[in-house]
Parts: sequence; C-alpha cells; structure tokens
Amino acid sequence: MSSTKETKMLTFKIKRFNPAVDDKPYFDTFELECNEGTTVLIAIQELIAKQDGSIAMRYNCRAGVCGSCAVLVNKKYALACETLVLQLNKKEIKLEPLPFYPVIKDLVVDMSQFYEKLLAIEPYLKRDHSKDPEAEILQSPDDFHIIEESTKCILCGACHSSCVSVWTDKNYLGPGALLKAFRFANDTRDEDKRQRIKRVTAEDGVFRCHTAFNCVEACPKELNPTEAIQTLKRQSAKQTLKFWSRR
Amino acid sequence: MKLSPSQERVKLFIPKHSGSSAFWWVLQRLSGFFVFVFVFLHMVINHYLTLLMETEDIPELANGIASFQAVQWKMQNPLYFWVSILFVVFLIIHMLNGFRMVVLDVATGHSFRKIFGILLILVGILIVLYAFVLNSTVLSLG
Amino acid sequence: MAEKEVIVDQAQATTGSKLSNLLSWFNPFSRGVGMWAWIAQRLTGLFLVMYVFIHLGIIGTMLLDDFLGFNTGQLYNSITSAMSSPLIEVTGLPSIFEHVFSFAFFIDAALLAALVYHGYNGIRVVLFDLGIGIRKQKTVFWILLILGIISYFLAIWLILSVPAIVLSSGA
Repeated sequence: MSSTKETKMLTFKIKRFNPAVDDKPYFDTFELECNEGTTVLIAIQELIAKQDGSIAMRYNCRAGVCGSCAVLVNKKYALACETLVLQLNKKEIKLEPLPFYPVIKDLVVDMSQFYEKLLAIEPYLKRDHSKDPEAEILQSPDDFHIIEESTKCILCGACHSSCVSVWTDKNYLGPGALLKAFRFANDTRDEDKRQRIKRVTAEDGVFRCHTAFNCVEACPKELNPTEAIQTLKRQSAKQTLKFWSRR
Repeated sequence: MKLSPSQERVKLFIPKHSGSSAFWWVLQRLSGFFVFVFVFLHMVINHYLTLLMETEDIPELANGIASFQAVQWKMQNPLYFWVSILFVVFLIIHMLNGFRMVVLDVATGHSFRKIFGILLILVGILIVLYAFVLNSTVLSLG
Repeated sequence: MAEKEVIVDQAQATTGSKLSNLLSWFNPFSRGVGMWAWIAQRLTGLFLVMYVFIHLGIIGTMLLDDFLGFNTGQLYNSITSAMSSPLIEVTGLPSIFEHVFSFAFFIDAALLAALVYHGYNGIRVVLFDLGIGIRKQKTVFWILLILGIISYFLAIWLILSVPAIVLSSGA
C-alpha cells in the first residue's frame, strides 16, 4: 500500500434486514479507513472481508455497466461501484437498499416486478426477418441519435424505485420500462411501432406519469426517462386521436 | 403453450388499453389553457371592469361592480351569459379530470376506475346545469 | 422454493401500506425541484377544487331569495358587503392597507396564490408536454416562479387599491 495516499476514517451506517430472522430493519455502524480510490462497493467488500461477513450486497461488473449495485447513498440514488466515498464529503455514510422494492436481505432487493414490467413491453426488436439483408440490419447515425440515450440504460432499477406513481400504483409500468418502450418504438429497424404505442396508451401506461422528474433525479447514468415518456405521450395521443387515418 | 409463473405475472403488467386516457390527457391541457384565459377575464370583468371604462353613465354600476344590480346588468349581455357558462364547462372538465388523476393514482381497480369516471361525468353535467340555473335566475330578474 | 416464497412475502411488508406510500410523497430523499413543484401543483389543485365548490355554493345561497321569488337581491348585497367589511379595527394604517383585515382579502390572497402557482406551473407542464425545455426543467421552474410572484403582488396591489370601486360601501 503506497503511503502517499491520503486516508480517512469514515463511519458507515448500513441498513440491515434479514426477513427470516428480524422483525424490523435496523442500522449497523462500521468504521473503515478509506483512501481517495475507495468506492462504496470496495468499502462494503472490505467490511465483508474484515468486519462482518454477513452483510449482503449484490454486484457484478464493478464498472457501472451491469446495474446490479444501485443503492441509496446518503439518501441519494447511486451505483455503489461508481461512487467515491471521499468525494461525498461526509464523515458518515448511510447505505440503504433501494426503497419500495421488497428487501431480500440487507442491501439486496427483489427487483422481479421491475423486470416483469420490462418484459410486458416486449423489449426486443420485432420485424419481418424474412426480408432481412444478408449481413447486419443497418441504421443511419441520425436514426440512431434519436434512441442513442435510451440505449444506455443499464436496468439498475433506481428510476422505478424513485417514481411517485409507482409507489401508489403498483401496476404502473414505471420509467425504466417506458424508456425501453420509447427505445423500441422509435427504433427505425423495428416494424411494430403502432402496436408498441398502443400498448402503452393506458391509464397504467404513459398517462400515469406526472412529470415529477424523480427518475431524472435518480438515474445514475444521467439519462432522461421523463423526456422519453413525454415523447411517447405525444405519439400516443397523436395515434389514438387521429381517427381519420387509422390503419 | 404453458406459461411459467413469471410469464403469467408479466401478462398481469401489460396495461389495459384505453384510448380515452389519451383523450382526457389532451383535454386536460386544452381546458387548462382555456381556464387560464377565462379566469383572467373573470377577474377583470367581475372585479376590475370599472378601471377600464367610464362608469358614470351606467346607473347599475353606482353601487360597485360586485353589487347585485351590476351583476344583473352584465347578465343582460348574451355574450357574458354564454361565456360564463363556457367558463364553467372548461373549469369543471379541468377540475374533475384533475381530481380523477389524483384518485386514479391511488385506486388501481379497473372497474372502480370506470365507475368513478362515469360518476364524475354525471357530477360535471349536474354542476353545469346548476350554473345555467344560477345565470338564468339572475337574468329572469333583470 | 417454498421457503424462498415465504421470505419474499415477509419482506413485502417492509414496502409499506397504501397510506404510508402516499405519505412518502412528503419524505425528503433524493428529490429535486420537479418533485416539490408537482406536490405543490397537486395541493393547490385540490385546494382550488374545494374553493370552486364553495364558491358555487355561496353564489347559490346568495341568490336563494331571488330564486324563491322574493326578488330583491338583498341577500346578495348583504353577503358581499359582510365579506368585505373589516374583521378588526386597526387605525393608523396607510390608506392602501385599509381593507387588509377583511375576510374577503384573506380569501382572495390565498386564492390568488394558489391560482397563480397552479396556472404558471401548468404552463410549465404544458411546455414539457410539447417537448420544450425538459432538460432545463429547473431553470424553467425558477423563471416561472419569479414571473408568478411578480404577477401575484401586482394582483394584490390591484385588490388593495381599488376595493372602493369594486363594492362601494355596500347596500
């Protein structure tokens, strides 16, 4: 370990809950020496290795690509692997699982409803494959630019957890799924735009979004699901109310 | 094909298509715009009309723009009569639809949503009729 | 498999009931301006719905004697003048603040605040629906809030400066 690195003693408060044993969630406090390269994920790994092996945490890629380590860090949505603890400028770091998901253990939440809603909008390219070209299906840079941002979603589930409409209406698709719906509905290679937009034209579809911008606030990748949902709303209204040119 | 339990749950999350949701969404915006304009006119005509015009010639306005005589005088104008009804129509659409959005955030049952929507439409029609009766009562005395 | 189901079911309880979810709207975590703007839009909206019902009800009451055929308009005038008469006597104020302590002024001030906020935030929401300024939502909010405050005080000034013309002393 190089001695040039500045280290700091930080307090970690982790929300612990094991439904099989505990009645209520409680906070555990740990102390850890951190340097400028320590991310929240590394800190938790060190805590698991050296202090308490029973802390549960989900992670895979450690580089902000897989989206499995989204947690609440000091009441803000963040990816544990991308958040440097010293840059938070806090002596005490509070870690909580994503709210409004059922807790499986400690920081691990059950995200099945998020994935099921995602599958409900059929997140895969639909087209008549018999007419496909021999090589790959090409797309112009301009066409890709429309959906470029929405392809960057890593499905961490932070937006779904932050959305006010999801809290009160469990059937609402949520910003994550609707961002995907936007991504496929506006993909020029996709041939099912009409059906896709029809599917989200519902009280539990796009029109449950009230533009509170919580998803934008929450997204660790700094995407803008609200803009995607607003575009879908306009497309949906146009398609639904244009009764004189229905196919 | 037999679906796995997870696929069954996916089917539950496919939203129930309703074209009227798009219609009400657009109408909420349009009526909001009209209410914005009409509320402004309402304030000016019912409270500040005297600032804008010479009032000495009109005896009905002697007791102030908010007095009963002044209301009767304004109601004689068919434009005022019908525009105020139109104002109530847009206001009721905007208001009850906004209230419906708040309730639908919490109430998720499809049949409840349907019944509640129909109920609100009936309430809206009743309120517009009530406003018409009020206006006609004032007019009939003039 | 069965054991896992039980665990998830127990954990489901930690996500809270419908009421606690509703109250968590007001729980300040990871929130931006947009969320508070939306909550305020909702609350002012519900307040205005309540006001419209009361307003229509009061107007109906004011016209009750005419509706029943007494044909005077006296009830109307007496209620309007009662509304604008001062609640407490405060002397020594500048003449523009003469009507501050009337029932009508309190109602009007609260109503206008709700109305101006709801209207201006409504413009903001419609702009977003048209796809304008979504990326700059916070700036749009502050600009419209400042415009709203200016128009609010303009309206308050109008209310205070012209009550005599609006209702001269009452019948």
